[in-house]
Amino acid sequence: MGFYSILKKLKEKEKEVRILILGLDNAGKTTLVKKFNGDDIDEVSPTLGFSIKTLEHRGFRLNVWDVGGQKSLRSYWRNYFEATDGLVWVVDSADQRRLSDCKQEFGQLLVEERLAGASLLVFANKQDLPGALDAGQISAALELDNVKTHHSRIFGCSAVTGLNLLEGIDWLIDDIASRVFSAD
Amino acid sequence: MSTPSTSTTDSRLAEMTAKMTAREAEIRRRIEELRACRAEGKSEAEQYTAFEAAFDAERLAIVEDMEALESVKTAAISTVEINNSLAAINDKIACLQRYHSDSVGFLPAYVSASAKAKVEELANKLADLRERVVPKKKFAFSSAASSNRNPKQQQPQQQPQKQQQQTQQPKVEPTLHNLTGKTVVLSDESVANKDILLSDLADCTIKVLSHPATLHLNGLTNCTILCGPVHRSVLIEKCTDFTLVVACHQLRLHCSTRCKLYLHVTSTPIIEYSNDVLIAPYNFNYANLSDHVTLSGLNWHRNQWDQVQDFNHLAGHVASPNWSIMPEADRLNWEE
Repeated sequence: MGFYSILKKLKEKEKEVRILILGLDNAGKTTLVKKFNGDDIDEVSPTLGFSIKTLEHRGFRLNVWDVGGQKSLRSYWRNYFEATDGLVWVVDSADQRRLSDCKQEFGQLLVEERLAGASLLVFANKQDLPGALDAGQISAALELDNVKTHHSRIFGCSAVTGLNLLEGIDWLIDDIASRVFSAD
Repeated sequence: MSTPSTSTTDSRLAEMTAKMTAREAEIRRRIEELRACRAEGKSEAEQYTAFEAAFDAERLAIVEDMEALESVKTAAISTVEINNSLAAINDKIACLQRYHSDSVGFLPAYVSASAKAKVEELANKLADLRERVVPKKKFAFSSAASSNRNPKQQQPQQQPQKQQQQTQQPKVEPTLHNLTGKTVVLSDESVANKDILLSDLADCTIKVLSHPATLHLNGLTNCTILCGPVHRSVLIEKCTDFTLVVACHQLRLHCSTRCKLYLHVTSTPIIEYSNDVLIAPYNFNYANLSDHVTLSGLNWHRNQWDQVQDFNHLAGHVASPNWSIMPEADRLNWEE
């Protein structure tokens, strides 16, 4: 029995999933996690460093790593890559000016070896803002169709109203589960 | 539902509103019933039957709202009203979704999945509806009340501005771009609940007498920005020698220097790659401020203006050299 399969067995027992949430600052990562967990979002501060939340959802234990997106913190992102099952990339759909920054940072993650194989969920956040691009436009801007290294899917969502958060996370869990916890 | 003629629009709208109110009361009653039934510890089957009833009632109500909105669209009701109705419907869908996720615990898988699919369907319908009823028009400021404050100043830059407007992105978004030496007032409807971008301005004074959703400032030099309460976040990049007076939920300042910020921030403001930043409490006063505070939903009793975090200076015990509190004697009073 190889190391990988031992790991797999261990995970199977716990049904534990590690999710890494990344994106530029002001994308709404922390708000999204808090909203999903049913917490109050009125006092969300910009994340200094990172925060870990463990959520129970559909019988899975989700270890959610929410890492700050400020420019000065991005070089530390790589410290969190190891053993990631699901990567969530959050985009501020109303911030068209920084979309190129967003694409560039995103592109760097895609070639990251330690993230290879992680399911990739893109949230086109802030859909409730009138100036927001829709999921299709964000997908085009990030050239998501060209991503062959990961199973990926994009959802338009709003962390403030909660729209589509559940759908997105459910897709992510289903995709991870089909790989990691597949029936032996 | 029949198609209305233009003359009956007002009465139809009134009728619609009355209907909606009555229905909401009915739904609330059902949800109360459901709560009561849960409290009494009724069987799961009874609980989810009650869930299905309340869920379907609300779902049908939302569908009717959408149909109603679509049927009046030919008449000339204002874009603002359409937007308000769309927002109200959106809220209801979100509410329904929350109701579903709160109830997942006791729902059989099939009921839960079908409820989820129904919420999705509603969201898609709403997106379609939005495309049909909201005319795609370009944004333009009607109230560019220009610089009567500085009557001496010449305004030779008007023509290049017009060209700028034409080359704007087609996206509907309140934006001021590439202006010099202007005073612009943005008020109420044009910017309420919108995401505002002010970029590449020099020697300008911009007053936002409203409650926008977000505010982005980029590349401002020697400008003064006075703004009402912002629902969510303010993001400032590459600005120098400027004053910003704003109330908001979050504030981020990047790559900027010589800034004076008068803030009401409910979370801790953060600065990054910036220096020479002076911080003071929010003191902008204008006629509708208190109404706008209410509309923005900001907590007016929680202000962390002086709890600045400098992301480039993480040594907690030594004060950051990049920002300081503005001495009281230096603070100006900002009025409309």
